[in-house]
Amino acid sequence: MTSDLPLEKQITLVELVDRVLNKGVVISGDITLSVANVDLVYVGLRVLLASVPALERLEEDDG
Amino acid sequence: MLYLYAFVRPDASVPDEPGIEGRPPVLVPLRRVAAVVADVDGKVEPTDDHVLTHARVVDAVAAANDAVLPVRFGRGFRSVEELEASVERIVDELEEGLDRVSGCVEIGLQVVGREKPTARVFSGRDYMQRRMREIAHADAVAEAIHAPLAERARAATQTRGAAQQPLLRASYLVARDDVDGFRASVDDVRRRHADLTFACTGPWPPYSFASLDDEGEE
Repeated sequence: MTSDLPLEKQITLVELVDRVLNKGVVISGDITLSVANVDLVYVGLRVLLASVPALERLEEDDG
Repeated sequence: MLYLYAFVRPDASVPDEPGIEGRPPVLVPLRRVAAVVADVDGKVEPTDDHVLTHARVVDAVAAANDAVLPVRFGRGFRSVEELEASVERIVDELEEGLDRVSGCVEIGLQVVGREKPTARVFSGRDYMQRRMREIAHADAVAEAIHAPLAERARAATQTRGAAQQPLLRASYLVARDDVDGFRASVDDVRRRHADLTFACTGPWPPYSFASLDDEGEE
């Protein structure tokens, strides 16, 4: 899906999505807003790459 | 519907960053903590745009405040009263969490080994023995990388995810003013493992240290 991207960018992208979807406070008794299959969200991620600040941070890292 | 982005302290400030559906997030002070929320009309589907917007709002809140607990994507409430009732049940943990992450950011690290060409395998038994040796070796290498960094950080988690099996996937909670020093430590470790690929990401808001059960894992 993102195989044309450098490894570091792929990793940062996966790290971002993993954090937003799988980490963070889980609050019970709430209404989950149609997040049935978050594993399926790893689609269409190319768009994210355009504007994620963390990508720039990563590039600085490796510079 | 109120869409929830993060928990902060009651005196926190909310920066001017458009949220999902373009709605600006606002601070809702509750007892002892405050929630960063915004109205939404429709369903919040887990699209790339929504995921990115959620991340941006949390980023902006974290940049403006010392203590931020990011909330997992996709939490909404019908009313402030409903939010209040849910928060009330975990308010002790939220306060502890805010203390834990105060002044800190998260640094992510993935270490990936090189693919080795698969040697010819003559039997299932040979294969199993070799696999077990490889796994033991990978565990030892991962531990040698992780241990000194975990020691240096305020807190650390090892996580596994949907990515191709990295040798090590970890997060470290690091004081904001120690990020450069921590990265230098990562570089030290990296030099000792020149055959591996290191990808250090962040600083992130402390997503991996916001879980109230104290575990990064499900």
